[in-house]
Amino acid sequence: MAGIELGSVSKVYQGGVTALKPTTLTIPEGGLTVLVGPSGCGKSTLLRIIAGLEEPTSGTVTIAGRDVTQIEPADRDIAMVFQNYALYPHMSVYDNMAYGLKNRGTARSDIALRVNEAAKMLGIEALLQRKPRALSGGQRQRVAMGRAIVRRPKAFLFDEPLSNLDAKLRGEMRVEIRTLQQRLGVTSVYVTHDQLEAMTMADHLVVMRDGVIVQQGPPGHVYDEPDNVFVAGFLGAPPINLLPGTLAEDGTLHLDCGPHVTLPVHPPLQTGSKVTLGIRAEAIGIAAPAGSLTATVELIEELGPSRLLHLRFGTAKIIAMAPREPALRPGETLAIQLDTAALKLFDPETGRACR
Amino acid sequence: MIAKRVTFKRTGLPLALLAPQLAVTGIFFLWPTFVALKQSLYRSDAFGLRQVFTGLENYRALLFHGNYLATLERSGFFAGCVTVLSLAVGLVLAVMADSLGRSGRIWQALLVWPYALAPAVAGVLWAYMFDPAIGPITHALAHIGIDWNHVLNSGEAMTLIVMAAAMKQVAYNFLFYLAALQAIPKSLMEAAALDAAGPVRRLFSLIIPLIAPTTLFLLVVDLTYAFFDTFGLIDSTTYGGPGNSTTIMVYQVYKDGFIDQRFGPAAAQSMILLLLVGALTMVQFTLVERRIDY
Amino acid sequence: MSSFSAPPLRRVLSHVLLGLAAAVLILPVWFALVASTYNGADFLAGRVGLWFGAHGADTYKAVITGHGTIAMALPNIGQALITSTIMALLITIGKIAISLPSAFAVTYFQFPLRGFWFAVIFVTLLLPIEVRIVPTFQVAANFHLLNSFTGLTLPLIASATATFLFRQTFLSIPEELTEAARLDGASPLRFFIDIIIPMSRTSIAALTVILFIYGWNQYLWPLLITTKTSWSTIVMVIGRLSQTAAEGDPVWNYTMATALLALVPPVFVVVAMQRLFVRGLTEMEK
Repeated sequence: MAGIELGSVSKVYQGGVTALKPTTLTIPEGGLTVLVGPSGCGKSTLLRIIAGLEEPTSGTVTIAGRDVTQIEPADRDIAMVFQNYALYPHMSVYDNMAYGLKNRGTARSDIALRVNEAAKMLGIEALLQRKPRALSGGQRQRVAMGRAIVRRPKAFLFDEPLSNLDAKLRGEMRVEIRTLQQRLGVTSVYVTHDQLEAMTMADHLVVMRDGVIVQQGPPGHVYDEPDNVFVAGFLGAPPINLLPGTLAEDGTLHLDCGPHVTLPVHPPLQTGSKVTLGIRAEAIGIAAPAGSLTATVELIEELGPSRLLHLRFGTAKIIAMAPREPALRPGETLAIQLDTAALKLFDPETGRACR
Repeated sequence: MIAKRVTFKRTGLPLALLAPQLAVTGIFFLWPTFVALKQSLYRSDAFGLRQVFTGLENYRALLFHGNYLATLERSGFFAGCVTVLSLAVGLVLAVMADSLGRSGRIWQALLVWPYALAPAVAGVLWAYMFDPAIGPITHALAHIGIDWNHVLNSGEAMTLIVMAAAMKQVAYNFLFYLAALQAIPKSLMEAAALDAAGPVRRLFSLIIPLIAPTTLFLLVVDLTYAFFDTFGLIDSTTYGGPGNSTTIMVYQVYKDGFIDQRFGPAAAQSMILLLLVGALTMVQFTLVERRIDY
Repeated sequence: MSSFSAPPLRRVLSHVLLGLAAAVLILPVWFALVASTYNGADFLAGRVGLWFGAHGADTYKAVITGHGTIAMALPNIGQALITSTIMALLITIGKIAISLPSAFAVTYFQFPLRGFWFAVIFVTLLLPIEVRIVPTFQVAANFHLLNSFTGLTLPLIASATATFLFRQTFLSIPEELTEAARLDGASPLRFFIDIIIPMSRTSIAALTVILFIYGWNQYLWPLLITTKTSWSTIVMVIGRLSQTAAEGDPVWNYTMATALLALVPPVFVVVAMQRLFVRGLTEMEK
């Protein structure tokens, strides 16, 4: 109960734009919670409300059991890492990290102790006297984290901290932040629009859209059991294949693109209902025995350990993830097999999952 | 008005931060302007003891009687000459410096320094060169048969102050034109050269249209300078003479208001100057806004 | 650089023409320098040529110590130089000191009537001294500001341009820095002193160059606000000396020496700090 509690928090900007509809959320203590969604979904607004940088139109914010709704950001006992690092360009790395402590009246010797400790943890001891301009992107990122660490806050807030880095560095920093967070065990909220970052880092994943939380839970669970077609499509790369169809009397699904798919269980729907079938790339296998379903290879993308097959399936195009063997050529027709346990059905009207 | 997304919500502190500037503005700008507006509607009697409300009489007197219309016309002529001369010279020099590339830079320092000249200093330097009795240029002109005397000849007096006033703006215009020219993509100039356009043709069909926004901007700045910043220049060269032939608006308002203590007419002139500077400032801001859009 | 490289012949021509223009601009200064090395008798006898005379040292000594000029009841030029320096510095510092906080207030705060206060500052652009010459003098006289540095500088230091420039600079400072500072527990004033001012260093330096020249070159206002010759500024003195010279007194040597002394400080500033000067000038006009 000592994480962060949001009690029907909402934000309506001047001029009537609603950034966040009333939202209630419990961010578990000690874990890393990722807010993910496309731009404009309200995830940054939510983070900034937790930080106190934005005042909620309604609702309450509780951090570690204390209602901080009316409290200045500096007094909320939180630290934030910004997308563009927000390092003070005229101050040395040391001063950047020490500034918040100085403003709080921390003793000089204590500041030195904490800054050096954080610098050691991040491997930036040699950079303490440099100015931010003399640092690489990754080093700046570390300094920004160092500034947060020295504060020893109740919570870390990360606002898309890796989006200014190149792909390789992003992968490294992802691991580094995750390791650090686990080691410090501080409640963390991490905002990103990158589903890969969200999946790989989160203890608790919160997917948002249009100012509303659409689903939350452990990342694996959200991935496997998406509540709706938006979550299914947003998580995972390549994106889930979505094929519209009609439920036939015998429990098979007649896809609009042609093929008929046999469902493992009869869904709780009436015969003749329109449904959308969701099937992930990795749930499509190349069937050794000639099954009833066939597809034609159009394009092959090599990924190294595996490859992506762009297939023509009836009149639709789908993407399958397949091992490197056997050798295939564009134009070849092959038998495919759908992992029936991984088939998802969605209501095309509401987008909700049919369970 | 553009402001920061992140703002502090306070009342006392920002007002305290603004207070010094607002105080100086209120006491030395707004209040005197209000007084000038009031004075422009009154006439003081001969001894300055009593003020009589006369409505727009001062304005009517300025615009329909006496020589103020001539002053307006003269000021316009002076400002126009200074502007055209300094724009033309500034542009030609900038085009040449730009065509020299890196080696043209050495000329920047040698052409820009006159910006630092006080108008009064520029004036006195030119007044000496052209002094009717001992000026070195006057002597040279005498050799080629020109009898220069700006103390007696009003045309020569006007020529002298135009040249002296243009000196500072040539430097200013050169600097802005050079920056504008350097911002033109090199590929455009090369394309024009491949289209077999000669340097003169390039100047008129390509460069001048491309830097038109700079020209408009400088036009306003130069006019403002010529109308308002040249008091010291007149006061160190011709003192408005011979006759009134170089008395421009700012010099006349000084003479009427300060030397002759005719407060009503001087105040009315102040209001006319206010309208002029207001119009020029508005044009300048519109241009700047437009320039940002480019 | 966009420069289009011209053929050699035209390059030479360009250099020659630019050199000519530079020479025309420097010519008045050259003649002034030459004139300042002659004495009054030389002028009366028409001995002043295109090269230096023999009395340069005498002229400058007389001008700076006020020895020869005092005899003609003219202001002491050494003193005028000091007055000008102090005036220019006070105007520079004053303008920056009042416009930094006011720009900070209008950029970073939400408070009642913000737009109105901003407009009031803007209005000063419309009111150069020429527009309010007599009443401003009366106000200054009522405050007993004649013949004082307060009178010389205070009415000139309200500057919308400096406020605009600083506002522009502040607007270019990323929002996240403000947020970071808020999280770091910096009060608005701390933030202003620790972050905003150090980050505006270049703008402040560039503006200092421009404002020093502006202050040094003031003419009309010092002329009005000072009634004692001991309060004359160097640029003001030029006007008086030129009048004396034009009336036939052989003081052209002193006048030219004074003019040179008046132009050296601002010209030196422009040439020595050219980069800052150019930056300040172009930013001011944005």
